[in-house]
Amino acid sequence: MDAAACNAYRADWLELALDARAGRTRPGDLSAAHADACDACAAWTARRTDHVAALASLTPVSAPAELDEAVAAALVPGAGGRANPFGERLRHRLAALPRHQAPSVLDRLVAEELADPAAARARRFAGDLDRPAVPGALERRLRRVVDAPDAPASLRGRLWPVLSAVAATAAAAIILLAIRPDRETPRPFQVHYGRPPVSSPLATGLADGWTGGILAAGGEAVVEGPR
Amino acid sequence: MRGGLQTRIMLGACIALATAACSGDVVVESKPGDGFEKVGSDPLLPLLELSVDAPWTTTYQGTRRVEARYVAGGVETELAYRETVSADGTGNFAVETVDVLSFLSDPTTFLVTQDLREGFFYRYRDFAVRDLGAFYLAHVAIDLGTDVQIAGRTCQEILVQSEFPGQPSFQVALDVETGLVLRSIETDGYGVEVQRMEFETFDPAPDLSGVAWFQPAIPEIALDLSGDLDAQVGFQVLSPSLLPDGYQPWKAATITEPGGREWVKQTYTDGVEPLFFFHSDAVQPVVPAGPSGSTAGTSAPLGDNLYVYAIGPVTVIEGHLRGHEVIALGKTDSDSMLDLLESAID
Repeated sequence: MDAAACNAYRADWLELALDARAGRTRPGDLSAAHADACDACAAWTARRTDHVAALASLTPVSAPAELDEAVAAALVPGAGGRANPFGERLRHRLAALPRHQAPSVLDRLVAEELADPAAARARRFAGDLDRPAVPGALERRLRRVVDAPDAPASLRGRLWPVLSAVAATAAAAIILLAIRPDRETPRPFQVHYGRPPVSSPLATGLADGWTGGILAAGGEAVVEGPR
Repeated sequence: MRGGLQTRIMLGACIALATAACSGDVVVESKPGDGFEKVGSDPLLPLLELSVDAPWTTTYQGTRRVEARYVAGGVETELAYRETVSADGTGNFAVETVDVLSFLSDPTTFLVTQDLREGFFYRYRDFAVRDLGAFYLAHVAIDLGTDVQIAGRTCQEILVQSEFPGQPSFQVALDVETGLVLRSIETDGYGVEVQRMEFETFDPAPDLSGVAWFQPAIPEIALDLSGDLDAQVGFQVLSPSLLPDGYQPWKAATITEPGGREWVKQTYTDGVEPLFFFHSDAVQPVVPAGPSGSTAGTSAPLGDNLYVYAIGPVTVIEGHLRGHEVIALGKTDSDSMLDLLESAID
Protein backbone atom coordinates (compact mmCIF):
# COMPACT_ATOMS: atom_id res chain seq x y z
CA MET A 1 0.00 0.00 0.00
CA ASP A 2 1.19 3.50 -0.79
CA ALA A 3 2.76 5.00 2.35
CA ALA A 4 1.50 8.47 1.52
CA ALA A 5 -2.05 7.20 1.22
CA CYS A 6 -1.77 5.39 4.58
CA ASN A 7 -0.42 8.52 6.15
CA ALA A 8 -3.13 10.74 4.70
CA TYR A 9 -5.83 8.34 5.85
CA ARG A 10 -4.46 8.18 9.41
CA ALA A 11 -3.98 11.95 9.64
CA ASP A 12 -7.58 12.49 8.51
CA TRP A 13 -8.82 9.92 11.00
CA LEU A 14 -6.96 11.53 13.88
CA GLU A 15 -8.12 15.00 12.88
CA LEU A 16 -11.75 13.84 12.80
CA ALA A 17 -11.34 12.15 16.17
CA LEU A 18 -9.92 15.31 17.72
CA ASP A 19 -12.67 17.42 16.16
CA ALA A 20 -15.28 15.07 17.54
CA ARG A 21 -13.75 15.28 21.03
CA ALA A 22 -13.85 19.06 20.81
CA GLY A 23 -17.49 19.00 19.75
CA ARG A 24 -16.72 20.19 16.24
CA THR A 25 -18.33 18.51 13.29
CA ARG A 26 -17.41 18.78 9.67
CA PRO A 27 -19.45 18.11 6.57
CA GLY A 28 -18.78 14.78 4.99
CA ASP A 29 -17.04 11.83 6.56
CA LEU A 30 -13.83 9.88 6.23
CA SER A 31 -13.85 7.53 3.31
CA ALA A 32 -13.53 3.94 4.44
CA ALA A 33 -12.31 2.84 1.04
CA HIS A 34 -8.66 3.03 2.00
CA ALA A 35 -9.10 1.04 5.21
CA ASP A 36 -11.06 -1.59 3.29
CA ALA A 37 -8.13 -2.11 0.96
CA CYS A 38 -5.28 -1.74 3.48
CA ASP A 39 -4.92 -4.37 6.20
CA ALA A 40 -2.43 -2.32 8.19
CA CYS A 41 -4.70 0.71 8.30
CA ALA A 42 -7.73 -1.43 9.07
CA ALA A 43 -5.89 -2.91 12.06
CA TRP A 44 -4.71 0.53 13.11
CA THR A 45 -8.26 1.93 12.90
CA ALA A 46 -9.70 -0.95 14.89
CA ARG A 47 -7.20 -0.50 17.69
CA ARG A 48 -7.64 3.25 17.78
CA THR A 49 -11.42 2.91 17.83
CA ASP A 50 -11.22 0.41 20.70
CA HIS A 51 -8.91 2.64 22.71
CA VAL A 52 -10.99 5.75 22.21
CA ALA A 53 -14.22 3.94 23.03
CA ALA A 54 -12.73 2.29 26.11
CA LEU A 55 -11.37 5.52 27.50
CA ALA A 56 -14.48 7.52 26.64
CA SER A 57 -16.66 4.97 28.44
CA LEU A 58 -14.83 5.42 31.73
CA THR A 59 -16.61 7.39 34.40
CA PRO A 60 -14.46 9.94 36.19
CA VAL A 61 -13.82 8.78 39.73
CA SER A 62 -13.80 11.33 42.51
CA ALA A 63 -11.48 10.98 45.46
CA PRO A 64 -13.36 9.74 48.53
CA ALA A 65 -14.13 12.32 51.17
CA GLU A 66 -12.13 10.24 53.67
CA LEU A 67 -9.00 11.04 51.69
CA ASP A 68 -9.32 14.74 52.48
CA GLU A 69 -9.58 13.92 56.16
CA ALA A 70 -6.61 11.58 56.00
CA VAL A 71 -4.47 14.23 54.32
CA ALA A 72 -5.51 16.83 56.87
CA ALA A 73 -4.67 14.41 59.69
CA ALA A 74 -1.23 13.81 58.25
CA LEU A 75 -0.50 17.49 57.89
CA VAL A 76 -1.98 18.83 61.12
CA PRO A 77 -1.51 16.85 64.36
CA GLY A 78 -4.85 15.89 65.76
CA ALA A 79 -6.90 17.12 62.81
CA GLY A 80 -9.59 14.66 61.84
CA GLY A 81 -9.08 12.89 65.14
CA ARG A 82 -6.33 10.64 63.78
CA ALA A 83 -2.64 11.39 64.09
CA ASN A 84 -0.02 10.09 61.68
CA PRO A 85 2.43 8.03 63.81
CA PHE A 86 5.26 8.42 61.32
CA GLY A 87 4.72 12.17 61.07
CA GLU A 88 4.63 12.45 64.86
CA ARG A 89 7.91 10.56 65.24
CA LEU A 90 9.52 12.70 62.55
CA ARG A 91 8.33 15.88 64.18
CA HIS A 92 9.71 14.85 67.59
CA ARG A 93 13.08 13.93 66.16
CA LEU A 94 13.36 17.18 64.24
CA ALA A 95 12.38 19.16 67.32
CA ALA A 96 15.09 17.41 69.34
CA LEU A 97 17.86 18.46 66.97
CA PRO A 98 20.05 21.34 68.16
CA ARG A 99 19.31 24.62 66.42
CA HIS A 100 22.10 26.43 64.65
CA GLN A 101 21.93 30.06 63.65
CA ALA A 102 22.79 30.62 60.01
CA PRO A 103 25.55 33.19 59.59
CA SER A 104 24.33 36.53 58.30
CA VAL A 105 26.73 36.37 55.37
CA LEU A 106 24.87 33.29 54.18
CA ASP A 107 21.63 35.25 54.13
CA ARG A 108 23.29 37.98 52.10
CA LEU A 109 24.88 35.54 49.65
CA VAL A 110 21.64 33.67 49.15
CA ALA A 111 19.77 36.93 48.60
CA GLU A 112 22.37 38.09 46.06
CA GLU A 113 22.33 34.74 44.31
CA LEU A 114 18.56 34.79 44.02
CA ALA A 115 18.49 38.39 42.82
CA ASP A 116 21.13 37.96 40.12
CA PRO A 117 22.79 34.52 39.99
CA ALA A 118 25.29 35.34 37.23
CA ALA A 119 26.52 38.54 38.83
CA ALA A 120 26.79 36.87 42.23
CA ARG A 121 28.91 34.06 40.80
CA ALA A 122 31.15 36.51 38.96
CA ARG A 123 31.73 38.53 42.11
CA ARG A 124 32.63 35.46 44.15
CA PHE A 125 35.01 34.10 41.55
CA ALA A 126 36.62 37.52 41.11
CA GLY A 127 37.42 37.58 44.83
CA ASP A 128 39.31 34.31 44.47
CA LEU A 129 41.54 35.57 41.66
CA ASP A 130 45.16 36.50 42.31
CA ARG A 131 45.84 40.18 42.02
CA PRO A 132 48.02 40.71 38.95
CA ALA A 133 51.14 42.81 39.28
CA VAL A 134 51.37 46.10 37.39
CA PRO A 135 52.85 45.34 33.96
CA GLY A 136 56.60 45.96 33.84
CA ALA A 137 56.29 48.19 30.77
CA LEU A 138 53.82 50.47 32.53
CA GLU A 139 56.01 50.68 35.59
CA ARG A 140 59.07 51.59 33.47
CA ARG A 141 57.13 54.30 31.63
CA LEU A 142 55.91 55.87 34.82
CA ARG A 143 59.38 55.73 36.31
CA ARG A 144 60.78 57.50 33.24
CA VAL A 145 58.26 60.32 33.70
CA VAL A 146 58.84 60.67 37.39
CA ASP A 147 62.62 60.35 37.20
CA ALA A 148 62.98 62.74 34.28
CA PRO A 149 65.50 65.50 35.03
CA ASP A 150 62.94 68.18 34.17
CA ALA A 151 60.25 66.78 36.42
CA PRO A 152 59.54 68.95 39.42
CA ALA A 153 61.00 67.57 42.55
CA SER A 154 57.61 67.72 44.23
CA LEU A 155 56.15 65.49 41.50
CA ARG A 156 58.44 62.66 42.45
CA GLY A 157 56.93 62.61 45.86
CA ARG A 158 53.28 63.35 45.02
CA LEU A 159 52.64 61.90 41.58
CA TRP A 160 53.91 58.41 42.15
CA PRO A 161 51.11 57.32 44.53
CA VAL A 162 48.49 58.88 42.24
CA LEU A 163 49.83 57.13 39.14
CA SER A 164 50.08 53.88 41.02
CA ALA A 165 46.43 54.18 42.01
CA VAL A 166 45.46 54.92 38.40
CA ALA A 167 47.39 51.91 37.18
CA ALA A 168 45.81 49.65 39.79
CA THR A 169 42.34 50.94 38.85
CA ALA A 170 43.01 50.27 35.18
CA ALA A 171 44.18 46.75 35.94
CA ALA A 172 41.06 46.10 38.05
CA ALA A 173 38.84 47.42 35.27
CA ILE A 174 40.49 45.07 32.78
CA ILE A 175 39.85 42.12 35.09
CA LEU A 176 36.24 43.08 35.64
CA LEU A 177 35.64 43.47 31.92
CA ALA A 178 37.19 40.09 31.30
CA ILE A 179 34.95 38.29 33.78
CA ARG A 180 31.71 40.22 33.45
CA PRO A 181 28.90 37.80 32.67
CA ASP A 182 27.16 40.03 30.13
CA ARG A 183 28.18 39.95 26.50
CA GLU A 184 30.66 42.62 25.48
CA THR A 185 29.31 42.80 21.96
CA PRO A 186 25.65 42.56 21.03
CA ARG A 187 24.25 39.71 19.00
CA PRO A 188 23.83 40.39 15.31
CA PHE A 189 20.12 39.73 15.76
CA GLN A 190 17.37 40.80 18.10
CA VAL A 191 16.71 38.32 20.90
CA HIS A 192 13.33 38.20 22.62
CA TYR A 193 12.98 36.02 25.68
CA GLY A 194 9.48 34.68 25.32
CA ARG A 195 7.21 33.01 22.84
CA PRO A 196 6.68 34.60 19.44
CA PRO A 197 3.27 36.02 18.61
CA VAL A 198 2.65 32.93 16.46
CA SER A 199 4.59 29.81 17.30
CA SER A 200 5.61 27.37 14.60
CA PRO A 201 3.72 24.05 14.77
CA LEU A 202 6.97 22.34 13.85
CA ALA A 203 8.76 23.80 16.89
CA THR A 204 6.01 23.10 19.39
CA GLY A 205 5.40 19.65 17.91
CA LEU A 206 9.01 18.61 18.41
CA ALA A 207 9.17 20.08 21.92
CA ASP A 208 5.97 18.28 22.83
CA GLY A 209 7.57 15.06 21.62
CA TRP A 210 10.16 15.36 24.35
CA THR A 211 7.70 16.22 27.10
CA GLY A 212 4.58 14.38 26.01
CA GLY A 213 2.88 17.72 25.52
CA ILE A 214 2.15 18.13 29.21
CA LEU A 215 4.15 21.32 29.61
CA ALA A 216 2.80 23.20 26.65
CA ALA A 217 -0.85 22.85 27.61
CA GLY A 218 -2.15 26.26 28.58
CA GLY A 219 1.38 27.57 28.63
CA GLU A 220 1.39 27.62 32.42
CA ALA A 221 4.48 25.52 32.82
CA VAL A 222 6.43 27.16 30.05
CA VAL A 223 9.52 28.91 31.36
CA GLU A 224 10.52 32.09 29.65
CA GLY A 225 13.82 33.88 29.95
CA PRO A 226 17.50 32.94 29.73
CA ARG A 227 18.40 29.51 31.04
CA MET B 1 29.52 29.87 25.39
CA ARG B 2 32.66 31.18 23.85
CA GLY B 3 34.66 28.97 26.16
CA GLY B 4 33.14 26.03 24.39
CA LEU B 5 35.06 26.83 21.23
CA GLN B 6 38.36 25.85 22.76
CA THR B 7 36.87 22.69 24.12
CA ARG B 8 35.40 21.96 20.75
CA ILE B 9 38.72 22.45 19.02
CA MET B 10 40.35 20.07 21.50
CA LEU B 11 37.61 17.54 21.00
CA GLY B 12 37.84 17.94 17.27
CA ALA B 13 41.50 17.03 17.39
CA CYS B 14 40.51 13.68 18.82
CA ILE B 15 37.60 12.93 16.53
CA ALA B 16 39.65 10.74 14.26
CA LEU B 17 40.68 8.57 17.16
CA ALA B 18 37.14 8.54 18.44
CA THR B 19 35.87 7.38 15.09
CA ALA B 20 38.12 4.38 15.43
CA ALA B 21 35.95 3.42 18.37
CA CYS B 22 33.20 2.53 15.97
CA SER B 23 35.07 -0.42 14.64
CA GLY B 24 37.94 -1.37 16.86
CA ASP B 25 39.35 -1.70 20.33
CA VAL B 26 40.84 1.72 20.84
CA VAL B 27 38.31 4.19 22.14
CA VAL B 28 39.77 7.63 22.71
CA GLU B 29 43.38 8.40 23.45
CA SER B 30 44.29 10.89 26.12
CA LYS B 31 44.64 14.53 25.17
CA PRO B 32 47.65 16.41 26.42
CA GLY B 33 47.33 19.30 28.78
CA ASP B 34 43.73 19.32 29.89
CA GLY B 35 43.66 16.35 32.19
CA PHE B 36 41.01 14.64 30.12
CA GLU B 37 41.78 10.99 29.70
CA LYS B 38 39.89 7.97 28.65
CA VAL B 39 41.01 4.44 28.88
CA GLY B 40 42.36 2.95 25.68
CA SER B 41 40.03 -0.01 25.73
CA ASP B 42 36.54 0.03 27.17
CA PRO B 43 34.98 -3.34 28.08
CA LEU B 44 31.55 -1.76 27.51
CA LEU B 45 32.39 -0.96 23.90
CA PRO B 46 30.99 -4.15 22.28
CA LEU B 47 27.63 -3.75 24.03
CA LEU B 48 27.39 -0.02 23.29
CA GLU B 49 28.35 -0.66 19.67
CA LEU B 50 25.59 -3.26 19.46
CA SER B 51 23.17 -0.78 21.02
CA VAL B 52 23.62 1.84 18.30
CA ASP B 53 21.88 -0.20 15.61
CA ALA B 54 19.71 -2.39 17.86
CA PRO B 55 16.45 -0.42 17.43
CA TRP B 56 16.75 -0.78 13.66
CA THR B 57 18.03 -4.35 13.35
CA THR B 58 16.15 -6.18 16.11
CA THR B 59 12.76 -7.79 15.72
CA TYR B 60 10.75 -7.40 18.91
CA GLN B 61 7.55 -6.26 20.53
CA GLY B 62 6.89 -5.18 24.08
CA THR B 63 5.02 -2.94 26.40
CA ARG B 64 6.81 -0.27 28.31
CA ARG B 65 5.96 2.26 30.96
CA VAL B 66 7.00 5.86 30.44
CA GLU B 67 7.11 8.45 33.21
CA ALA B 68 8.10 12.10 33.02
CA ARG B 69 8.36 14.67 35.79
CA TYR B 70 9.10 18.33 35.23
CA VAL B 71 9.11 21.40 37.42
CA ALA B 72 8.80 24.51 35.33
CA GLY B 73 7.68 27.95 36.35
CA GLY B 74 7.06 26.62 39.84
CA VAL B 75 4.60 24.05 38.58
CA GLU B 76 5.32 20.35 39.09
CA THR B 77 3.90 18.22 36.34
CA GLU B 78 3.88 14.44 36.04
CA LEU B 79 2.92 12.16 33.22
CA ALA B 80 2.83 8.36 33.12
CA TYR B 81 1.56 6.11 30.41
CA ARG B 82 2.01 2.68 28.92
CA GLU B 83 2.80 2.02 25.28
CA THR B 84 3.33 -0.88 22.95
CA VAL B 85 6.44 -0.78 20.80
CA SER B 86 7.09 -3.01 17.80
CA ALA B 87 9.95 -3.27 15.32
CA ASP B 88 10.54 -5.66 12.43
CA GLY B 89 14.34 -5.45 12.30
CA THR B 90 14.39 -3.80 8.88
CA GLY B 91 13.68 -0.24 9.96
CA ASN B 92 9.91 -0.36 10.41
CA PHE B 93 8.58 0.49 13.84
CA ALA B 94 5.37 1.38 15.64
CA VAL B 95 4.67 2.97 19.00
CA GLU B 96 1.12 3.01 20.33
CA THR B 97 0.08 4.58 23.60
CA VAL B 98 -2.34 2.10 25.14
CA ASP B 99 -2.91 3.26 28.68
CA VAL B 100 -2.78 6.56 30.55
CA LEU B 101 -1.59 6.04 34.11
CA SER B 102 -1.56 9.58 35.47
CA PHE B 103 -4.45 11.97 35.85
CA LEU B 104 -5.22 13.93 32.71
CA SER B 105 -8.29 16.06 32.20
CA ASP B 106 -8.79 14.66 28.72
CA PRO B 107 -6.99 11.32 28.30
CA THR B 108 -8.74 10.53 25.02
CA THR B 109 -7.39 13.60 23.28
CA PHE B 110 -3.99 12.86 24.78
CA LEU B 111 -4.11 9.33 23.41
CA VAL B 112 -4.98 10.47 19.93
CA THR B 113 -2.35 13.20 19.97
CA GLN B 114 0.29 10.70 21.03
CA ASP B 115 -0.09 9.03 17.64
CA LEU B 116 1.17 12.18 15.99
CA ARG B 117 4.39 11.92 18.02
CA GLU B 118 5.05 8.27 17.24
CA GLY B 119 8.07 8.90 15.03
CA PHE B 120 9.70 11.26 17.50
CA PHE B 121 9.17 8.85 20.37
CA TYR B 122 10.97 5.99 18.70
CA ARG B 123 13.79 8.00 17.18
CA TYR B 124 14.59 10.69 19.72
CA ARG B 125 12.67 10.62 23.02
CA ASP B 126 14.50 7.97 25.04
CA PHE B 127 18.12 7.36 25.87
CA ALA B 128 20.07 5.81 23.03
CA VAL B 129 23.66 5.76 21.90
CA ARG B 130 23.07 7.55 18.60
CA ASP B 131 26.65 8.16 17.55
CA LEU B 132 29.42 6.18 19.19
CA GLY B 133 32.25 8.63 18.44
CA ALA B 134 30.33 11.63 19.77
CA PHE B 135 29.17 9.55 22.73
CA TYR B 136 32.69 8.73 23.87
CA LEU B 137 33.86 12.30 23.38
CA ALA B 138 31.10 13.77 25.50
CA HIS B 139 30.32 11.04 28.03
CA VAL B 140 31.79 8.59 30.48
CA ALA B 141 30.14 5.17 30.64
CA ILE B 142 30.53 3.31 33.93
CA ASP B 143 29.71 -0.37 34.30
CA LEU B 144 27.66 -0.65 37.49
CA GLY B 145 28.61 -4.32 37.67
CA THR B 146 25.06 -5.47 38.15
CA ASP B 147 23.00 -7.65 35.87
CA VAL B 148 19.27 -7.06 36.24
CA GLN B 149 16.23 -8.87 34.90
CA ILE B 150 13.84 -6.61 33.00
CA ALA B 151 10.79 -8.09 31.33
CA GLY B 152 12.46 -11.48 31.62
CA ARG B 153 15.64 -10.37 29.86
CA THR B 154 19.14 -10.18 31.31
CA CYS B 155 20.43 -6.62 31.16
CA GLN B 156 23.72 -4.97 32.03
CA GLU B 157 23.38 -1.74 33.98
CA ILE B 158 25.58 1.21 33.15
CA LEU B 159 25.75 4.81 34.28
CA VAL B 160 26.28 7.44 31.61
CA GLN B 161 27.52 10.83 32.70
CA SER B 162 28.28 13.86 30.58
CA GLU B 163 31.75 15.37 30.49
CA PHE B 164 30.12 18.79 30.68
CA PRO B 165 28.50 20.36 33.74
CA GLY B 166 24.77 20.79 33.96
CA GLN B 167 23.98 18.02 31.50
CA PRO B 168 21.70 15.08 32.32
CA SER B 169 22.92 11.67 33.46
CA PHE B 170 21.40 8.32 32.61
CA GLN B 171 21.21 4.97 34.36
CA VAL B 172 20.41 2.47 31.65
CA ALA B 173 19.90 -1.26 31.39
CA LEU B 174 21.02 -2.79 28.09
CA ASP B 175 19.77 -6.17 26.94
CA VAL B 176 23.00 -8.19 26.75
CA GLU B 177 21.78 -10.18 23.76
CA THR B 178 20.43 -7.44 21.50
CA GLY B 179 21.84 -4.18 22.94
CA LEU B 180 18.35 -2.68 23.21
CA VAL B 181 17.76 -0.22 26.02
CA LEU B 182 15.14 -1.89 28.20
CA ARG B 183 15.25 0.68 30.98
CA SER B 184 16.54 4.23 31.18
CA ILE B 185 16.36 6.69 34.04
CA GLU B 186 17.30 10.26 33.23
CA THR B 187 18.33 12.71 35.94
CA ASP B 188 18.87 16.40 35.30
CA GLY B 189 21.96 18.43 36.13
CA TYR B 190 20.78 18.71 39.73
CA GLY B 191 20.36 14.95 40.15
CA VAL B 192 16.57 15.01 40.01
CA GLU B 193 14.88 12.22 38.05
CA VAL B 194 13.00 13.70 35.10
CA GLN B 195 12.20 10.76 32.86
CA ARG B 196 12.00 6.99 33.09
CA MET B 197 11.23 4.32 30.53
CA GLU B 198 11.04 0.62 31.36
CA PHE B 199 9.91 -2.42 29.44
CA GLU B 200 7.28 -4.51 31.26
CA THR B 201 7.00 -7.24 28.64
CA PHE B 202 9.35 -8.23 25.84
CA ASP B 203 8.75 -10.68 23.02
CA PRO B 204 11.75 -11.42 20.77
CA ALA B 205 9.64 -13.43 18.30
CA PRO B 206 6.35 -11.58 18.01
CA ASP B 207 3.53 -11.91 15.51
CA LEU B 208 3.76 -8.57 13.71
CA SER B 209 1.17 -9.26 11.04
CA GLY B 210 -1.34 -6.75 12.40
CA VAL B 211 1.07 -3.96 13.21
CA ALA B 212 0.47 -0.60 11.54
CA TRP B 213 3.97 0.67 10.91
CA PHE B 214 4.86 4.31 11.33
CA GLN B 215 4.65 6.42 8.20
CA PRO B 216 6.39 9.83 8.29
CA ALA B 217 4.02 12.74 7.79
CA ILE B 218 6.57 14.60 5.69
CA PRO B 219 9.29 12.40 4.18
CA GLU B 220 12.89 13.51 4.58
CA ILE B 221 15.53 13.34 1.86
CA ALA B 222 18.92 12.66 3.44
CA LEU B 223 21.89 14.85 2.55
CA ASP B 224 25.52 13.79 2.46
CA LEU B 225 27.25 15.65 5.30
CA SER B 226 30.67 15.04 3.76
CA GLY B 227 29.61 16.77 0.55
CA ASP B 228 28.74 20.35 -0.37
CA LEU B 229 25.33 20.98 1.18
CA ASP B 230 24.68 24.09 -0.94
CA ALA B 231 25.10 22.07 -4.12
CA GLN B 232 22.87 19.28 -2.86
CA VAL B 233 20.10 21.61 -1.75
CA GLY B 234 20.30 24.23 -4.48
CA PHE B 235 20.49 27.25 -2.20
CA GLN B 236 22.78 28.59 0.48
CA VAL B 237 22.66 26.48 3.62
CA LEU B 238 23.22 28.16 6.97
CA SER B 239 25.92 25.99 8.52
CA PRO B 240 26.69 26.62 12.20
CA SER B 241 30.38 26.43 13.06
CA LEU B 242 30.08 26.77 16.83
CA LEU B 243 28.12 24.00 18.50
CA PRO B 244 27.21 23.51 22.16
CA ASP B 245 29.84 21.66 24.19
CA GLY B 246 30.12 18.03 23.16
CA TYR B 247 27.85 18.23 20.12
CA GLN B 248 28.89 17.05 16.65
CA PRO B 249 27.13 17.16 13.27
CA TRP B 250 25.06 14.00 12.93
CA LYS B 251 22.61 14.15 10.04
CA ALA B 252 21.20 16.53 7.45
CA ALA B 253 18.11 16.31 5.30
CA THR B 254 15.65 18.35 3.31
CA ILE B 255 11.95 18.48 4.03
CA THR B 256 9.35 19.82 1.66
CA GLU B 257 6.14 21.12 3.17
CA PRO B 258 2.86 20.20 1.48
CA GLY B 259 2.73 23.79 0.21
CA GLY B 260 6.08 23.31 -1.53
CA ARG B 261 8.33 25.27 0.79
CA GLU B 262 11.63 23.57 1.39
CA TRP B 263 13.45 23.29 4.72
CA VAL B 264 16.94 22.15 5.59
CA LYS B 265 17.06 20.04 8.74
CA GLN B 266 20.46 19.73 10.37
CA THR B 267 20.72 17.46 13.40
CA TYR B 268 23.57 17.44 15.88
CA THR B 269 24.21 15.09 18.76
CA ASP B 270 26.45 14.65 21.75
CA GLY B 271 26.06 10.94 21.16
CA VAL B 272 22.85 10.75 23.19
CA GLU B 273 20.73 13.89 22.84
CA PRO B 274 19.70 15.29 19.47
CA LEU B 275 19.71 19.00 18.67
CA PHE B 276 17.74 20.25 15.68
CA PHE B 277 18.33 23.27 13.46
CA PHE B 278 15.82 23.95 10.69
CA HIS B 279 15.81 26.80 8.23
CA SER B 280 13.66 27.53 5.23
CA ASP B 281 14.77 28.55 1.79
CA ALA B 282 12.15 31.20 1.22
CA VAL B 283 12.85 34.85 1.90
CA GLN B 284 10.51 35.89 4.67
CA PRO B 285 8.96 39.33 5.08
CA VAL B 286 10.38 41.58 7.75
CA VAL B 287 8.74 40.97 11.10
CA PRO B 288 8.81 43.86 13.55
CA ALA B 289 10.15 43.15 17.02
CA GLY B 290 7.31 42.06 19.24
CA PRO B 291 6.85 42.85 22.93
CA SER B 292 6.42 39.19 23.86
CA GLY B 293 9.25 39.10 26.36
CA SER B 294 12.42 40.78 27.54
CA THR B 295 14.77 41.88 24.78
CA ALA B 296 18.53 41.67 24.67
CA GLY B 297 20.78 44.33 23.09
CA THR B 298 21.55 43.90 19.42
CA SER B 299 23.21 45.24 16.33
CA ALA B 300 20.76 43.34 14.16
CA PRO B 301 19.57 44.26 10.71
CA LEU B 302 15.86 44.95 10.68
CA GLY B 303 13.96 41.68 10.56
CA ASP B 304 16.50 39.45 12.32
CA ASN B 305 14.38 38.50 15.30
CA LEU B 306 14.74 35.37 17.40
CA TYR B 307 12.39 34.28 20.16
CA VAL B 308 13.90 32.14 22.90
CA TYR B 309 11.84 30.11 25.34
CA ALA B 310 11.93 26.82 27.17
CA ILE B 311 9.45 23.99 27.33
CA GLY B 312 10.62 21.88 30.24
CA PRO B 313 14.19 20.80 29.53
CA VAL B 314 14.04 21.88 25.90
CA THR B 315 15.29 25.26 24.71
CA VAL B 316 13.36 26.45 21.67
CA ILE B 317 14.44 29.26 19.37
CA GLU B 318 12.35 30.39 16.44
CA GLY B 319 12.29 33.46 14.27
CA HIS B 320 13.91 34.97 11.20
CA LEU B 321 17.56 35.25 10.29
CA ARG B 322 18.91 36.79 7.09
CA GLY B 323 15.58 36.22 5.41
CA HIS B 324 15.27 32.58 6.46
CA GLU B 325 12.73 31.25 8.91
CA VAL B 326 14.76 29.37 11.52
CA ILE B 327 13.93 26.92 14.30
CA ALA B 328 16.36 25.36 16.74
CA LEU B 329 15.57 22.93 19.56
CA GLY B 330 17.79 21.13 21.99
CA LYS B 331 18.25 20.10 25.59
CA THR B 332 20.98 22.64 26.22
CA ASP B 333 21.19 26.22 27.45
CA SER B 334 19.90 29.20 25.47
CA ASP B 335 23.29 30.94 25.20
CA SER B 336 24.82 27.91 23.49
CA MET B 337 21.88 27.72 21.13
CA LEU B 338 22.15 31.43 20.28
CA ASP B 339 25.89 30.98 19.69
CA LEU B 340 25.06 28.20 17.25
CA LEU B 341 22.71 30.46 15.30
CA GLU B 342 25.13 33.38 15.37
CA SER B 343 27.89 31.19 14.00
CA ALA B 344 25.60 30.15 11.15
CA ILE B 345 25.59 33.70 9.75
CA ASP B 346 29.24 34.59 10.42
